[in-house]
Amino acid sequence: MNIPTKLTGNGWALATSGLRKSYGKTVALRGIDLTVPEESVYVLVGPNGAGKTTALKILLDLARPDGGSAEALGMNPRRDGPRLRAQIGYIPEAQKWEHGWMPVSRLLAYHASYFPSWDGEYAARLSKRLELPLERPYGKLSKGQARRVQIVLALAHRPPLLVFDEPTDGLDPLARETTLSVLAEHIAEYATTVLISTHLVHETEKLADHMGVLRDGVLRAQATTDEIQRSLLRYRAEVPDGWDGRAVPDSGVLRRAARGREIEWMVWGSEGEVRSMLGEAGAQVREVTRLTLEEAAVALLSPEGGNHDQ
Amino acid sequence: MTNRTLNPEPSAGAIATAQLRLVTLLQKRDLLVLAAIVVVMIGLALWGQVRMGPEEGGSGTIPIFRGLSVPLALLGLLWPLGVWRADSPERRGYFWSLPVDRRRHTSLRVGIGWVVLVGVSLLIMAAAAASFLPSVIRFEDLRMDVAQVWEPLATATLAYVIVSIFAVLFESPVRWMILAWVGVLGLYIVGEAADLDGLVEGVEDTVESLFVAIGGPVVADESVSDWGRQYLVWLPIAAAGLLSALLWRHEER
Amino acid sequence: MLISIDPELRQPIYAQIVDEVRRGRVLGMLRPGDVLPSVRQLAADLGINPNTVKQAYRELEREGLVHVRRGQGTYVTDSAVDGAERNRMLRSVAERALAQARRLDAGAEELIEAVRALERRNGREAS
Repeated sequence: MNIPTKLTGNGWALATSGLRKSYGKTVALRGIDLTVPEESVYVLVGPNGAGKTTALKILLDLARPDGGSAEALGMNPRRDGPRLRAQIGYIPEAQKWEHGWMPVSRLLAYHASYFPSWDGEYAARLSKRLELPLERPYGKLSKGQARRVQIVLALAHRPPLLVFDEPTDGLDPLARETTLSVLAEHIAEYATTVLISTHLVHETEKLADHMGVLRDGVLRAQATTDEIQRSLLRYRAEVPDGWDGRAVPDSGVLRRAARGREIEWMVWGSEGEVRSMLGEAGAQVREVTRLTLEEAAVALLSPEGGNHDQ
Repeated sequence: MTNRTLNPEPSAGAIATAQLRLVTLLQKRDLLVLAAIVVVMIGLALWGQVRMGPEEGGSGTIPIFRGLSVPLALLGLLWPLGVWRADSPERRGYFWSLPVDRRRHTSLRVGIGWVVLVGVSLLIMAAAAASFLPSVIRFEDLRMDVAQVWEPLATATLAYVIVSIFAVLFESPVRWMILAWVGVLGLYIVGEAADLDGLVEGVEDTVESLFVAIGGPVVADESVSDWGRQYLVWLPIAAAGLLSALLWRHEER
Repeated sequence: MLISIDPELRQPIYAQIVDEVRRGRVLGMLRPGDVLPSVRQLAADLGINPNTVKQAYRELEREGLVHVRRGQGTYVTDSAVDGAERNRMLRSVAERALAQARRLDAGAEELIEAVRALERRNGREAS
């Protein structure tokens, strides 16, 4: 069974088509079709590198693609730049890229003047909850504190689209939990589409309902987290001595580990079909387990993983 | 697609106010230093005058404002550093991510920077004039020539506009300051070596005749100094250069 | 009643919520007419996607265990909590135990014997 790289449906909050971008000789994106449904929480995973961040930057018109197209909320990032950016709450990869000399409270006020939909009361509540040091200059904050300021800047004007690049990077575990909790409350309260690029899949698992796996500029997989966790399972089976395993077809098999007479596969496919496939090949399936989203991401990112038909 | 009403973009007034606050607040410390220098200079001037005896008095005119041309030109040259200091490390981040058309945003920043520059220059000029008042009041034959009030302003503006061209084109202040100085110096050297005077005069004459043709009386007025004539020619040219830089930099390809 | 989910997430979250509600009904902690937390509230409390809560509530409504009244909340229905529901939950416990036993190449009979031995050791009467 093939690993899906395209979502079905229409009514995308965000859609790219054949999006391409290179920086000199490095190819960041090789023509991707990323689609984020409205009011979904889409997690884009991949190794640290140019691909994910580049895709996000193109939405903000902070980078211009070499080919293909991108559209968000029905608008073109280049042509409708200001209007689109007014609908986006953006957290960039770098923690410190605003005016470092400004005290946090003034930075919030400055940002607020650019977003008429800014909710001052909500901003105050969030600031308190995230314990922002309001009087300290932004540049003097720790990475974690600066990140939290960026979260308030992004959420307080209640944008329909949130674009986060490694939002919890640099935060200690408690701050990470508070941040995700704040985000969960935010999307429970306001209809929002969220696109999170991260390499920390584990903590976004509770929120994510869609996942895209990007590696070497190509989308290896793109599906709902439901489908991923239903279709990518771990099979543990016992095999007879001298079993050569050649009878197991390659397609859909992402990982293989052997421990004596016990072999473990991670296979993409419906459980029933895979069970019978393994049984026919002579392996006795003892256990089938679901994977956490992180385990699934790792498997899909591995060299054999993912859809290679590009 | 859900037909949800879009969040509004900021109004021009809101952006302008935000940028004005940014530029002035940013410069607070520098402005204070500048004010301190001015106060010291005034103090010295006043003190010197107080100590002058009646026989040391003078007569004639003090070209109070023309004398400020060079200092204010220097101020104008350095001013963009302050205007763009807010955006570090580079503009291609926060500034560009805001929901404002980038050409407009950059132009606004340059324009507001200029407005503040003019304000500060006027204050300096007023302070300088005030500092010589005691002598003017004391010595009847001494006069202050305030006719060239626009000269220092024009010099400062010209300097500011030229450096702003580079500031708009490049993001790193180091880069554009170096380029601006090198460019100006290079032009001067080249101008001295080659006989660019003829070329320059040719340009000036062309622009002047254009002015006259469209009914502009100013340039024909003999009371306008040579310097003045040059400003009226070069200022529009520099402004056109700045406009081109702004349009080119954020072109919507 | 406090609805909680397993942080290891070996089971889909919506299914965990459904199980929790079932368990609450079976144990009498959730009585007919009780209001479940709103989608917003539960999603925020658990830090999960609100669509997941919606999915759970839809599933519960499909099974007739709750009733969603638009604008008023989600109510526990008064469908009889008979042995069938309890048995269903018990069966999934048994399924999990059997799956673990199979990993040791043990069958149902051995598992049952191990359970009985445990009961005897705990000094209780095997029923």
